[in-house]
Amino acid sequence: MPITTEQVTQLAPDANSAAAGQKLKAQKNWSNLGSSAEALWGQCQGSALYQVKVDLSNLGSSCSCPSRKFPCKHVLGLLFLCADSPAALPPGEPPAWVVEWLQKRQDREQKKAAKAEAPPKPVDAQAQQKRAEQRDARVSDGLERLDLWLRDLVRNGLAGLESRPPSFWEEQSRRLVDAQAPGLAARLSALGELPGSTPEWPTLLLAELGRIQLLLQAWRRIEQLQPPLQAEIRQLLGWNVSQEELTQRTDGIPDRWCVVGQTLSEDRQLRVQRSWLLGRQTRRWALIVQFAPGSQPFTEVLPVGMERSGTIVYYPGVSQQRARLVPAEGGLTDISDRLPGTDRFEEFLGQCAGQLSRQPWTRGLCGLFRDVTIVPGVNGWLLRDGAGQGLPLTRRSPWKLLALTGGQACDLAAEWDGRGLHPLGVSLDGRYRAV
Amino acid sequence: MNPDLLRTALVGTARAGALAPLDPAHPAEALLAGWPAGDPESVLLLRAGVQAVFAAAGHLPAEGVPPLPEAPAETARRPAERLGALLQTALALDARGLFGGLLDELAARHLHLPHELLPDVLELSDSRLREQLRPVLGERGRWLARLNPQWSWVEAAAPLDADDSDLERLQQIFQEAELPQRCRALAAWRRVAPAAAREAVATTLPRENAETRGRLVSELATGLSIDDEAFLESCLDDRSAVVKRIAAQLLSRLSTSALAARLRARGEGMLTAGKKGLVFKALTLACAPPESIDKSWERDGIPQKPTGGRGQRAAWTEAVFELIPPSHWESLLGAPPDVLIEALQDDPFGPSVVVGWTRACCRFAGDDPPSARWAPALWKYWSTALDQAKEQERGPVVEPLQALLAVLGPAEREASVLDLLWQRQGAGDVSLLELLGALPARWSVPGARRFLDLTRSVIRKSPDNFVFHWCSRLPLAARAMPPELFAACLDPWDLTADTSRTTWVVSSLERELDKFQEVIRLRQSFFEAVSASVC
Repeated sequence: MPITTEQVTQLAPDANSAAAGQKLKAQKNWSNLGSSAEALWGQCQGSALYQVKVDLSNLGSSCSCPSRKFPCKHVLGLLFLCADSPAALPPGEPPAWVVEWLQKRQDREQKKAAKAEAPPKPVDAQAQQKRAEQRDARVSDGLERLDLWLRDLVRNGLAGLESRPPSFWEEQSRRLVDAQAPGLAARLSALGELPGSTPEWPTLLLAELGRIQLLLQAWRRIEQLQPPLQAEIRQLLGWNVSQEELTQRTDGIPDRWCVVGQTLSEDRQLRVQRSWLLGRQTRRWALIVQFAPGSQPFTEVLPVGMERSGTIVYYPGVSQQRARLVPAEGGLTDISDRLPGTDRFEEFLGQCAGQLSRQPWTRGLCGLFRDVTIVPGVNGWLLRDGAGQGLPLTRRSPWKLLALTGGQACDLAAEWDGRGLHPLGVSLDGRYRAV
Repeated sequence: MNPDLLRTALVGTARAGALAPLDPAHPAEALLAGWPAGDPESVLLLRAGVQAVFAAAGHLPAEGVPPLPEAPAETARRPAERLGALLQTALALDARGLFGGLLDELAARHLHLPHELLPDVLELSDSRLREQLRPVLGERGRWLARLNPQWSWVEAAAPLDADDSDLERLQQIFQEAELPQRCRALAAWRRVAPAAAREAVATTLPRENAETRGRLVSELATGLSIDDEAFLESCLDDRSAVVKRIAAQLLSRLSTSALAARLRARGEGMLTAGKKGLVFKALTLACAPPESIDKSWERDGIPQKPTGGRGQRAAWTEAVFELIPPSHWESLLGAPPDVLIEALQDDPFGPSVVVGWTRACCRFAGDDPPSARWAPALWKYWSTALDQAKEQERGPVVEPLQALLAVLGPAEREASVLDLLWQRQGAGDVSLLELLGALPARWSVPGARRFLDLTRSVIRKSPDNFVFHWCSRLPLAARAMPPELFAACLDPWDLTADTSRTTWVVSSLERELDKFQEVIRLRQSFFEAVSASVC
């Protein structure tokens, strides 16, 4: 599997590890290098001789060094070496320590699959029901208190919010966490950054407070709603969907899933990775959200610009957006063929309207726009489709994209937040890359 | 968002009074028609929420967006893909030195910069780097720069290239631009129409301050001829001592000028030749500077009151001999440079004459090749002076050595510096390391090999303090190493030979050597990628 320096850099837990990996890529640091269809391996001379191996099916890796970073600099060094000079890793039979490790990984996968297929443990339905009722009551209490606070806010006016410290919003957010509604808590906490951030902040803030009010109203009437919308609202408020529940779902969608964009953010000492996947045949979109504390790795390795076979299982609800990927046989490969996408913004905005009609709190939607160009507009840069229609790009500078495309039409993936497009990846000269 | 709703929300329902009634014609508001009545705050928020969703769902694209002309196709060669990451690392590591050097390598191979790097490099403000960037920006870089006013330097500086001959434009820049641009325009103007450019300077000079006058007059060095004498003579009457000195320096380069003759007469008046010894009558020179100087000396750029802690007579001697081509003394006294220098050794003003000759050698080397031939003899004089100088006096000796390097050819320059470092490696001469900075950007294979041998020897034997000073020059060496010696640079370094070094010193040296090897490895990968691009 060909791998690029850019993709290896994406795998690094931080910039220091990437730099250390770059230093280790010199061939003189390595012995017993080799590769097969399943794995890469080599021994790296550090404070001791470390055994480094990479599983090519999903870029899982292991090293015998004591580093707590994952992947460690030795693994990154091996991958950088492979990206730079693949000939340095001659094809051959894997040594015993690689075979053993691959076997252990397979056993673990099989155990996981067997566990998933095993009948669920008997649950105490009564206790479960009681717990659910208790949580419902606690959330209802929390939401009523929030409603009171929101009404106070509007009664006194939003104009004074510019001078409020972040703690003003965080305190309410903490109360919602205590009321077991962490999803809504995060939404509220993010509002603290709005006042004063742009000239149109009052409109943005009022719109977002209005959406929260809609959510409060929906919670009050949840019993009257269809079960999928109920599930959606519960997730928005902060209910988790267990992996078991997802595993049991039978409506998975098999396809070749292409990783077309990724964002990384920090939330209360957790790294949050949002990866947008596009199905080649089904043209469906899936959002994989992964969390990792500190510099720990994300469970699923999803490098932008690669695709793999697998089944997408959507989280229960109406939006059919957030999902889990169940990989199938076969590893990751580069996105080489042209991706399916939309040629006209009108078509994309129609899809967005449809999504909002099903789930009005939807915040980001991804699109793959074919044959678009970047052009200057009156109030900033625009993405222009083949019909001469334009959508604004977000405030982030478009210079790198302009430098890469030179004003030529390209296929570009971007996330639409209702006001602007945030470019995520672009296909150029037959290669898909993150931007 | 309905403006009434927004105004009420900003002011607060307590002060804004009653909310505007629902608008049944608005599709979103119509949805709320049957909604149970509530307090005004809840109603306001609900209406805001519905309108926000309605607006988001009804977003329309802008129509009739004009296209942007595409960037022209590149005329330079396309770089290999991995050059992008390598250059990015070099830019982060050492923009001015390492990255700048790699830009020159790209330009020499007619490769353009990888496109993804353009936004970062166009932000660079260092003027030297900008000059190095210009040839490798490619069509894409120039196209991109036209889209961002902050990158206008790419286009703005272009008319002032060496071969620019658009007189009208040059005149306009000279009249209107900032001083550095004016100077560049003046130099370009002098290349094509020296008399007109001089006239323009003469007209504008009375209106300028001393610094600007000095800068503009010094630009007359381009295209300098005897036709400029009258104007430069008039500049000797300028109020500013700086302008006087610059005019005198320019006039001294015109051998038939009146000032050159005046200076020669003054110099000849100071030097007296004689003979000593019974059998081999060796030449001796005695220098007798005047006890005082008059206004005519000052007019010719020789200041009455010297600076820098020297005596007046020594300073006048230096100033006079600095403005006379050294070859003049060779033909006047009929002896080669080394004999003339030797002849001054017993004279108390001898060192001042040699200082003057050294400066004159550097000053006239370009116009007068016989004067340039004085450099080896002067280099020998100053390297010998180094042996006699006490540690704190070595700075003033290294300075002329550094100046003389500019006169020597690249190969001679490299050999002279490395010879000196080799001879004096045991002396722990930190100030000598400055000379490495004057070497060419790329060292020859034998020169670089000598430097590596020297480095290994210094690391093995020299005291800690000197080794650290030596290692501080390793970044420069890493940039200048020829590719043929990369493997030798990456060989392991033995830091354990000197057992007296503490662990802290050893680990610090290891860090320095690691950095050195990191740059070498980066350059190694760069050259591999460049060869892949060219093939």
